[in-house]
Amino acid sequence: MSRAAVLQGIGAVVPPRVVDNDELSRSLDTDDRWIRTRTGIRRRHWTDPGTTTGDLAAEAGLRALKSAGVDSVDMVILATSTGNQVMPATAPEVAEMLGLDRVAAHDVSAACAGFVYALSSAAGALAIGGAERVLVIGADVWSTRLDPADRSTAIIFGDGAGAAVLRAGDADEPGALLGFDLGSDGSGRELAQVAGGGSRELSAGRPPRPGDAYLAMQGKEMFTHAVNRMAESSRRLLDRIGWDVDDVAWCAAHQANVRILHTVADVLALPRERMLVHLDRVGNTSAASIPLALTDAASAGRLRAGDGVLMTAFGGGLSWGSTAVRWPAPDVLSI
Amino acid sequence: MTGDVVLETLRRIVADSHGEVPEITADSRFADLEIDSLVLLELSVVLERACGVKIFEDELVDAGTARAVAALLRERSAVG
Repeated sequence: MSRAAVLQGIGAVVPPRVVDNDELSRSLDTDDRWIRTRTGIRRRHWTDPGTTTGDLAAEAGLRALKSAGVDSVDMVILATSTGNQVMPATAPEVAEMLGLDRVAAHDVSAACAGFVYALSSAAGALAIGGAERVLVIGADVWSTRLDPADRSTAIIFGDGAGAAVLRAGDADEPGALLGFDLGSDGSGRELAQVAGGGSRELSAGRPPRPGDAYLAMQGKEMFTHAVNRMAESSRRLLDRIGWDVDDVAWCAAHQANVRILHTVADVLALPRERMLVHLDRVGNTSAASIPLALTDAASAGRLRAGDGVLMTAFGGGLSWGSTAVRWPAPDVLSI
Repeated sequence: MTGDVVLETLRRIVADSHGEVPEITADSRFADLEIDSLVLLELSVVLERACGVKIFEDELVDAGTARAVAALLRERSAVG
């Protein structure tokens, strides 16, 4: 009988600078009402110069460690697509910032689905005895990779980080991750991408195109894929773990767009009020969105011990994944 | 039956995105409803899930009304 990964603590952070829709409307052809009705986003937080993805990841990690009531782990997994450098990974630096001397540390790159993928990697490490306790962090700073003139991305993304501490335990404990459904489709890789900076660009035999440094996204195609992939993945997971839709007290879906959240709920026949909504205050925070939404709901007292919580995510890659947990109700610091 | 699904889904999506429910009948022209670009995208996704038939957003634009969309759904269901 392999060991289960049990959620022990959770925490999240956003940088202090608030960017509301009116501020973006001054430089882009849009307005507050347009942004709110199309996306559900009212404001987001962007980093100030000097703050890195690693900085946010370390702060979220610290908060998750406090929530778990522990000061050490033996593995750090960071889900990010906006690491501090192309190479090396950012997780070792984050571990070092947290004073976690020489622990195992690596990054996971699965865009907005990264946190669920990282949870799965952590669960695997715990199951085989490769670790006793793992800090899983989702962190992204997209604000510095947005084309300021591209309305389709500039209004959507916010910066942030969220983290969870997982420990080895039993599958019937509260907080045990009950299973995973993961998938990908590389044929859709151009639907959300930073085209430059990698082997493809460097081997192309031409100078880099300036626009390729920015995040570019095909919004409508991503909308349709997001709904279908998250709904299908959620269904498969629920079937696998023997849950009915009624067992889902809360769904923490990747916070891309409130209309995606509502459409996923409709397709799953899940009452819309069970979808956690946090993007109105922070935008799409990529790999950080699920732990941010969970931390927001937990610190507001909405998540109760034993609540069935479904997590489902979709993002660039294309990549998607789902997992579920009976909420263990750890003490949680407000974001 | 199919017509009810289309109309009911359309009303729900419009109410959700616009905060109020305009009068929508089976013959209301989509073009007259002042619905935004995501409404027909959502309708396409939800109908595919509910009825197992894919009707693309531009086909919904061409169909123009809930009644015409329901006819398209019936036609494709029959073929499929």
